[in-house]
Amino acid sequence: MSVQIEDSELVRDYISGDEKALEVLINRHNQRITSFIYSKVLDRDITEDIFQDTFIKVIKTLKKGTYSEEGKFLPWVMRISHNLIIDHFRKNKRMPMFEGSDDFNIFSVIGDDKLNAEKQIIKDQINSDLRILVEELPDDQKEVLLMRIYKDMSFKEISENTGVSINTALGRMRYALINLRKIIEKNNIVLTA
Amino acid sequence: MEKIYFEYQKKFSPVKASTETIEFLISYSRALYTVKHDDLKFNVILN
Repeated sequence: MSVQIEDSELVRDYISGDEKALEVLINRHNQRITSFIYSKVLDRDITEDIFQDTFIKVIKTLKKGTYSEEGKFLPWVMRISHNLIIDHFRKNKRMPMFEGSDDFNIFSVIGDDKLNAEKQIIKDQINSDLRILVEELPDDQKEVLLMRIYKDMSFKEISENTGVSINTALGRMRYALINLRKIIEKNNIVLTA
Repeated sequence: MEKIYFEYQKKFSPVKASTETIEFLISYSRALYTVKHDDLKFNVILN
């Protein structure tokens, strides 16, 4: 029966110059640390990179002699990898990576949000037509629709402002939309650009 | 139940860092040398 050497002993041996001790430590905790990283980043290559960076930090710290034995070796390494995972996500947030293929054109999904002059005129025309149609609605429905669509108020705010229950406000909004559709169909109005 | 459990486990191969990465780390460790100057310590990579 072989006795497993404690991590702390292997760390001491490594600091004293026994390079083999590092290999034992890496192999002993390889799966645990790699699985931990993979569970967060869900990418094999990134996992490998973070694992490598983690142990580079471990090696540097141990060789510099700045490692304190207050805690255990594995939790300390896990903490380093955890910090590196956070760094990875921070970096990705600042600079999102896009992985495309040759048969996929990124510009087919990224467009210029700004409308050209023609589209802007059409949009203004639709908005103006819609305002005229809204005027045709009964006052209670019109009031709710204007508050919801044009003032961006929640149904709770609408209910407080109009003195009706939320359910009534919701019902009025529903009927307002049904009636708007009816007016559009009845007058054969086309509201698309 | 045991069968289901083991079938489920089979789907997940354990994730481990590759031998290349481990070899790199061992080589890096062997090449890294710490130089002490007064209270300062510098890490130097030897070729």
